[in-house]
Amino acid sequence: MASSIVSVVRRVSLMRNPQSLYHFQFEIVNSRSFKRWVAPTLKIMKHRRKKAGPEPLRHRSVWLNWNYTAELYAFGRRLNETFRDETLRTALIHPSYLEQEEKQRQDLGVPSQAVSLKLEHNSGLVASGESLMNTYIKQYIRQAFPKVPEEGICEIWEYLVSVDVLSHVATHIGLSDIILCADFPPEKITLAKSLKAIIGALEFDQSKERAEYFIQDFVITQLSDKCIFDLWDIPNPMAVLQNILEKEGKDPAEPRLLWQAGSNTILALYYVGIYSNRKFLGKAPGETLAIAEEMAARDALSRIFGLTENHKPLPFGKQGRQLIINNNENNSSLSNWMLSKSI
Amino acid sequence: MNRPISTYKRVQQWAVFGRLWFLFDAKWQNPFDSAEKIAKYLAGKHKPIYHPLSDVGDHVVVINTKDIALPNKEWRYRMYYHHTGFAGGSSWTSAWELHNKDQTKVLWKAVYKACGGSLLRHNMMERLHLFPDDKIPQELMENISDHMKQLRPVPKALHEYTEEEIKNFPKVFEWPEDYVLN
Repeated sequence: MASSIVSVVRRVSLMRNPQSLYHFQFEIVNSRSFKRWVAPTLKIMKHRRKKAGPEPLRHRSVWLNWNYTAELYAFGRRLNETFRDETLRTALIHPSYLEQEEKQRQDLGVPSQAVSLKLEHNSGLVASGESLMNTYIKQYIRQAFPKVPEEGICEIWEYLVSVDVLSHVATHIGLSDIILCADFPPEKITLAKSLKAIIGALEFDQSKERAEYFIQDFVITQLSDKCIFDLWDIPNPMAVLQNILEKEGKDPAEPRLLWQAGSNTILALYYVGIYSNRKFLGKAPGETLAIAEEMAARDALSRIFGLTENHKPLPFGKQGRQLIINNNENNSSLSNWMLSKSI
Repeated sequence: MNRPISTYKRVQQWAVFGRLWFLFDAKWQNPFDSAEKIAKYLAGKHKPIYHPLSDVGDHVVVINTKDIALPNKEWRYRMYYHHTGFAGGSSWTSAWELHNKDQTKVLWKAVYKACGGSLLRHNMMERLHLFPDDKIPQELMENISDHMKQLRPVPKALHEYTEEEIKNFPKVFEWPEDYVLN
């Protein structure tokens, strides 16, 4: 039988050709035969994969090259913080993990006194981290937004210390792989607690100041490019504005139609301005007069509270390090709020 | 509270993409030059957010199209060609004939041409509202928010001046008493 050489097209690079993004590189090479087994095999493999379902979610530590000590060290180095090994280990152990371990030992019939775990859980660190975070965040926001009433401060604070935000931060600094807890994948509340424990550990190992900077860098930064009025919903802004003006002894706010376009169309647009004694307070667009008026009142409030789009950026980084918090008093509440008092 | 878009940003976007309504008085205006200007507004080229693929144009309401002023001898020599598709079905209509049939047609065709060949042309033409005189339906009038400047000022005709104004108009010389005018 004569030996036959066939020409086959082979993909040269597994990656796409960087010069032309949409094309792979191919070349024609001589081969002994067409490999007719390849396509059917791939088909069967795909079918089996589909039948078996997706890969089960497994913890990173299931893989052989998992080195917990190295991970802990890397965690600190990534954040540019120095932790004591024992403190960091404690901060990452949740009570649920200890319970699980105890139960496992009991199930195996090991008496708890004989082989005690000698491990501490992180509840203490969580509590200290939480209290530090609560006080520092409020102080920081009061310093950053001196004109915002206490109600607003509380709403911003509530957003920052919410489980969603804290768990988001915790996941993205790489805590979800290294915490020890019973639930897998770790629940949001567990992640949030871990972050608090890390802050507590930092305060314990380093200093209160260092822990505060950590909060500033990782938690309060979640506030950047957020609209404060989205976090703090004022139900009836016009009434609030009238109330403020009344207390200032100024004329009541008067909404005026500035511009309008396409009133009889579905794309109607109204611009409403708010004036008090012919003095401009704020303006906003809207699809109906009512919406435009409400938004204009909101705009007037945002101007009064110093929360406009172009307000001074929050002090982070270098400015954040120079921030001296000297105000330990609450901002005045919305009912007592006065322009003269807040400045 | 996590909203998909901030309340302020939502109304801001509404304002950015809101369609304005412009009024244009075509009285004694060159329809071909006016068409260029109107097409610019219909396409939204006067806006900073303009992009050729985005439908961001405004509405234009044109009044007094019966009083358009064609340059030179255009009324007589501008021909509008049409072919019915059948043999011998071609026809040429001069601008004055077309204007007699429909007083908005000359400007409509001029704007249609000025809108260019993009796929958005028909949408743009939908936003053009032509009226032969200055009578606009009330509901349309309520939409209008602004007007476009005319390309050239409309001069005042002699019959629009009062008797007194004509009498007080400064004269270089007086006709002699016995001089017979006409």
